[in-house]
Amino acid sequence: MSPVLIAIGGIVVLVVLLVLLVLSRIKVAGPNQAFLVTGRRGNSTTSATGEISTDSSGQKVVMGASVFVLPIVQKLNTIDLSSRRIPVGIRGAVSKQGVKCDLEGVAIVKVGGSESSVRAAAQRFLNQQQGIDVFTSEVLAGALRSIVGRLTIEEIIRDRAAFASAVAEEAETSLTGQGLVLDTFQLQDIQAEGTYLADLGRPEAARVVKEAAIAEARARQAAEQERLLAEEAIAVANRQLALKQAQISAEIDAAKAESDAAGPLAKAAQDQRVLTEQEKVAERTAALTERQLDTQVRKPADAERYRIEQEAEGRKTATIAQAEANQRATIAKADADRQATIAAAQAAAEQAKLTGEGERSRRSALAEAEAIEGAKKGEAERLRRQAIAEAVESEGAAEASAITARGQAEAGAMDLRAQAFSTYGEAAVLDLLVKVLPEIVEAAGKPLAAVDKMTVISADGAQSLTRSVAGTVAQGIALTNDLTGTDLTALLKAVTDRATAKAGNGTTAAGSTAAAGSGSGNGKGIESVPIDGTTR
Amino acid sequence: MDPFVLTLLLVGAAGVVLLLLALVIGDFSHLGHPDADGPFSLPALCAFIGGGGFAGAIAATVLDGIPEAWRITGSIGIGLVAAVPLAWLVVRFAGALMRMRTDETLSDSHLMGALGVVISAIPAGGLGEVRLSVAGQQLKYNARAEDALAPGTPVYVIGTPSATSVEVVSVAP
Repeated sequence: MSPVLIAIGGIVVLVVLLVLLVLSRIKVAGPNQAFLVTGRRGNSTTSATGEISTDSSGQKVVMGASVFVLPIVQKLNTIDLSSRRIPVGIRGAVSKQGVKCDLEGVAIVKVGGSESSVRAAAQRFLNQQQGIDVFTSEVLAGALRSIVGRLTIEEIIRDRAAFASAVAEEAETSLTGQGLVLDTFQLQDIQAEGTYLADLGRPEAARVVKEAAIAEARARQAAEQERLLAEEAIAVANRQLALKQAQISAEIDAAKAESDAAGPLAKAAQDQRVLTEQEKVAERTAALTERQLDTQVRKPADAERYRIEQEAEGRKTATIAQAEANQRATIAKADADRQATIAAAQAAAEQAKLTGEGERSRRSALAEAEAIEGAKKGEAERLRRQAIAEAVESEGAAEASAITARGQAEAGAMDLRAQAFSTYGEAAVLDLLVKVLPEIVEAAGKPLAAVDKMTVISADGAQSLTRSVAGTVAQGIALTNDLTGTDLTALLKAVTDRATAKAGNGTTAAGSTAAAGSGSGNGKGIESVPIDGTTR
Repeated sequence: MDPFVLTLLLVGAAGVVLLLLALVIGDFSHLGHPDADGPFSLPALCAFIGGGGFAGAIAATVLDGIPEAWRITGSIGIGLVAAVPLAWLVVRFAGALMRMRTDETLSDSHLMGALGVVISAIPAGGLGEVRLSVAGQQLKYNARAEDALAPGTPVYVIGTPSATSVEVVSVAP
């Protein structure tokens, strides 16, 4: 290897090492460090008196920066600026009020960040930096005791500004001169003698307890109220539910019943229809039966009834005629008896008059008295009778007028009828008579018709019965003559004569009529006695 | 190798070894004014020895062939001439670093005129606390004032009675 190259390499190495050596003399302070470089010479000043003095600028203070330190001739010292936590505790400190108390606190202390502080701290603590804690703790304990003496316990506890001010004042006097800064000081515990502190809080504690109790009670009240309201709402809802359930179950039951009844109902409807049809059949059957009865029973019965009625009518008429005849005979006899009795009575009265003349005078007095009494009674009676008589009279008048009116009406009717007869002529009259005759005969037969059983005791046999009927007819004709004023016999005779002269048919008509009249007697089982059907 | 050249190289190497020793175990010699890294400081000496040795070695190699006496004299002369400026450069470099500007250290005079705000009420005649803004950092100081000042009041520093307390006046409008 060439010596030239070696020499050049050596020069390069030499230059690099030189630069490194020079740069190694630069020292850099950390943010928590202060450098105090000593060994340099301070600035010298000459005073007016010519005295030369040197300041301390040779001791260079560097914080958080770099500094070139010459080896050997200069010395680099490092001060730690970090905070130190220093517990402080004092016992039996007396407060402004004289209350003894124990205090525990903590102080945060560091070396001051200014040039003068670093210089002062460096002078005191450079080689005993661990001693800062102990030293400061003792100083602060004394300071705290002094602070407590200046303040009341309430101020210590509550008045932060006053406490801080007192602490600052103490720190100014005790720490600043040593280059230390009290960053903060906090009390951690304070214990007063006896129950002073506890008593301080008691009113407030009592108030808080009271308020808590009140709040609790109110809350419980509200909760209870709400709970009751909720229960009420639940009860209401339950009632609603129960009602709804009952309603629904009722509806279900109704529907079930309806569905259950549907079958029977349908069956009933069916049965009803069947019954209706059966009823119709029955009606038809009844109608048929009725019609059958009509034709088979009622009609014959009606005919029979009619026949019986006719017979009875005939018998009744005959009986009436007989009774009237008897009555007239009785009346005539009674009249005769009366006349005889009157005559006898008049005779007796004449005799009595003669015998009773004496007696009469005696009794006349009595009679007079009685008469006076009777007159009064008679007056009353008279008035009463008069009223009755008036009533009877008016009744009679009314009756008379009614009879008159009826008579007039009948007379009118008679006139009209007579007129009609005269107008109709003989034929019409005859026709009427022919119509009337059967009724007459029937009336004559009526008494006989009423007879249930008849036994004829006569020498003539059963013919007397026929005679009786004929007699009755004759009486009826006479009655007719009296009532109508028409000579029915003569009329009949004239007709008969005329008929005989013409054809002789009238007898047949009369005979058939008589036959009909006698025939009616057959309905009532008369004991069979043959009757000769002789007629006029 | 020429024994003369070898000797010169060894002289240069001795300078390097000295530098290495100084770097590893620290400076062990300082000659001169304590306020400056003088011409007799270790780096300057090492630069002079090393530079002279290596430069002389180069010169001796280059001057090979001329008479031996001339060669030795010439080589040493060239070596010295080369070593002096190197040593001077090292001294200048160290001096420049020694006088370099650094952050100024905070002193009481910097607080004058600083603006801040009261953080603990200042009672009249008593001490409170203020926070001051100085050179970009927030610092807490104890403070006095003629009048009582409530927390939050802006203040202006008018005096520094101690390293940890200031005297302030309110600048509140």
